[in-house]
Amino acid sequence: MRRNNLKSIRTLPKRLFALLAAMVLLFGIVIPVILPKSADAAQLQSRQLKISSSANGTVTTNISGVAAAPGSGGNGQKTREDFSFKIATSGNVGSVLIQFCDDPIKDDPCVMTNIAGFSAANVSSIVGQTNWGGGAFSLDTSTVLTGAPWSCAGSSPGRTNCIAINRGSPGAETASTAVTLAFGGGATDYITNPTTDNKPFFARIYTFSDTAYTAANIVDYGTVVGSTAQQIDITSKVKEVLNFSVSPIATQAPGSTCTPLTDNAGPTPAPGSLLLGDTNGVLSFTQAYDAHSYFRLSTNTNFGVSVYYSGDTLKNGSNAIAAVGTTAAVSAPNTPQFGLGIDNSDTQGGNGYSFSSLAAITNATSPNGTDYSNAAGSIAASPVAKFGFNTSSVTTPEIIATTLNPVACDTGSIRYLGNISTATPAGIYTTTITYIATGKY
Amino acid sequence: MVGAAAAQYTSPNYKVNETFFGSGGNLDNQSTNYKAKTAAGELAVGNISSPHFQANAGFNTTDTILLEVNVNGGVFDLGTLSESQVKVQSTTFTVKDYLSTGYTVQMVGRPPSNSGHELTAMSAAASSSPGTEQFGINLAANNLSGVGPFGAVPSQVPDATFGFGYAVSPYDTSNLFKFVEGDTIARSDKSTGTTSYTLSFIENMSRVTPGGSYGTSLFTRVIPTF
Repeated sequence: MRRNNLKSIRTLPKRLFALLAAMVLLFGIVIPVILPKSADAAQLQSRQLKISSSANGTVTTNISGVAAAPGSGGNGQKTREDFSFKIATSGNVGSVLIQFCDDPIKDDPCVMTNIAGFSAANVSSIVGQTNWGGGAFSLDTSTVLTGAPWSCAGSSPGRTNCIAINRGSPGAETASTAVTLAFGGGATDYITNPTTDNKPFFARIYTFSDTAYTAANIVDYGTVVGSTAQQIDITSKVKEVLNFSVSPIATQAPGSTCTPLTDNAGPTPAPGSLLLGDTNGVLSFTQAYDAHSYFRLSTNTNFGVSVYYSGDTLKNGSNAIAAVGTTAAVSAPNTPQFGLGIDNSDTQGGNGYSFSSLAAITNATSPNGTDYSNAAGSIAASPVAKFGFNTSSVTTPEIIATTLNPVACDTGSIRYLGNISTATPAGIYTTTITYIATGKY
Repeated sequence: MVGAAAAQYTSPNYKVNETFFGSGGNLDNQSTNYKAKTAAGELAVGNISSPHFQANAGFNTTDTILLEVNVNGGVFDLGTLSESQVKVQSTTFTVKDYLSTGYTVQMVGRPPSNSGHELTAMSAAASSSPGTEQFGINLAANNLSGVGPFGAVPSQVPDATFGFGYAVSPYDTSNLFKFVEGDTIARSDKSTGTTSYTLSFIENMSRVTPGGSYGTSLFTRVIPTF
C-alpha cells in the first residue's frame, strides 16, 4: 500500500503539473472572455480644450512690456478655457466636474506635481455654456471636494485644480449632442497656466447623474489636454526719417520712392537761384511778376512735421522792396511788394504741387494771422492770388505748411510776387530764402 | 508562469481600449525597481485608420493620451528695417499628439508694435513687398531677393510613417506670407508622432512707418481633439 502510495505520489505531480499548465493556458486566454472587468463610464466624444493663450502662467506682457489683455493670446496668467465635447450617454446629468492634473488617467490620483503654477482658483463664473438640454449649470464654489475620491487641491472646498458646476436638479441630456463650457478670460475671473514653458496639462471631465459629484454616479468621462509653449519674441527697429529737398525747378517726378528734387543745372539762372521779373529778371511798375520754387518732403514722424521759411525781402544795399507783411494781400502793380504763398494749382504735370498730408497755413492757423494758402490765380487784372511775407522770419522762421501725420511724399509749390513802383531805386535786388522742415517724434 | 492580460472594457455599448491576441505578454510587469511591458509574437503593429475609425495595433500600445509641444522660442531680432529690403527670421517647433483624432496649430499674439502702432498684418496671403508695411508668417521653404533661402517644409520625425502633421494653406506656400491671429497654420488629421515645423516671419516697412523699437511675443497654441 505504502509502495502503491509512493508510486502514486511519484506519478501524480506530472499529471498535476500538466493539468495546471493546461489550466493556466486556458485561463490565460479565456480570462479576458469569461471574467471581464466591470464597465467604465462612457467616453465623451470629439472632446477638445481650447486655451486662449499658451503663454506660461507668469506672462502678462509682450517683449516690449505692452500688457496683454486677460483672455488674449499673450496673457498666460489670466486665460480662458473653452471645453467642447459630445455627450456619450443619454440620461440625466446633475453635475460636472473638471479636474486639472499632470496625467490623464482617470484611475490615477490627480496631482499637479508637473504643472506647478496652474490654478483655477480664480474661476468665479461660467462664461459660456451651450446646447445643454437639461438646463443651465451654475458654478459650485461650496461643495467640499478636497477629500476622497476627488482630492481637489487647495484649501477647502478645493478649487485650485477643480472646477465644479451643477444644477438645482438633474436634467436630461441626449447622446451625440455637442456641448460647450467656458471659463475664465477676465480680469478677475480667470485660469492661470502652468508657469513652465512647453508643459502639457490634462483636464479630466466627469458628468454625473446626481448634483453632488458622486463617483458611483459617473455618466460620462473624458480627458482633454492643453499645453504651454515657449514664447517667440520678435524685435526690430525703424529709424526716424525726414527727407526734404528744395529746388527752383520741378523736373523730378516723385515716383514710388519720393525721389528728391534736383536743382537747375545753370548757368542762368545759377543753381539754386531763380529770376523774379521778365526773362532778364527785371521788375516793372506796370505789371506784376511771379516765380516759383519747390520743396519735397517725406517723413515717418509720429506727431507730424512743419515747413518754415526764413529770409528777408528783396534788397539792394540799403534799398528794399517792401515786404507784403503779415496780412496777405493781392498783387498791386506800381506798389512795391515782395511776398510768397503756396500755389496749389502749380502741379507741373505731377512733378509740382501735391499735398496729401501737409496743409498750407491759413490766417486761422498762422501764429501771425498770415494766409499763405491762396497764392494761386491771377496777379494781373482782377488779381485774386494772395501773398504774405514776414521779415521777422530772418530770426524767427515763419511757418507756411504743417501736418500732424507722417508724410508719404508731398511736394509744395511756393509762388513769389514782385512789384515795384516808379520810385523804386534801380539796382540788383536779391534775397535768400531758406526752407526748414521740422518733424515731431 | 504567464499572467493573464487584463483588458479594459466599457459599457453600455461596448468599447475595448486594450486587448491582445497573440502568443503572450503582459501589460504591466513591475516590482519595486523594475517595470516593463512585454510582448511576444505580436500579430500586427501600427496605426490603422480611416476617416471614421482609428486604432493602434501591437501589444505595446498605450491608453494614455499625449501632447508634446516644444517651441524653440527666445528673442528673434530682425534688426533695422529698410524700405528697400525685407527682413526675415525663422525658428522651429515640434508637435507630437498621441491617441487623438488630430490637432490644429494656431499662432496667437499681435503684430510687432511701437507706441501703439502695429506693423500691418498681412490679412491675405501675399508676397513680400519692400516699401509696403508688412508682417507675415509661413511654414514653407522660401527664397527672397536679397535674403536667399530660409524656412523649410514640415518634416516628420523620424519619417513619414510616424508623423502626419502638415502646414495648412496658404501658410504652406513658398514666398507667400500671412498673419491673422488664431488662423490654423498646421494640423494633423489623426494620432501622430513628431512633426517638426519651421516658422518663418517677415517684416517690411514703408516711408511712413513710425520710427522706434518694435516688438511682439507670439505663442504656439495646439488644440488636439480626442
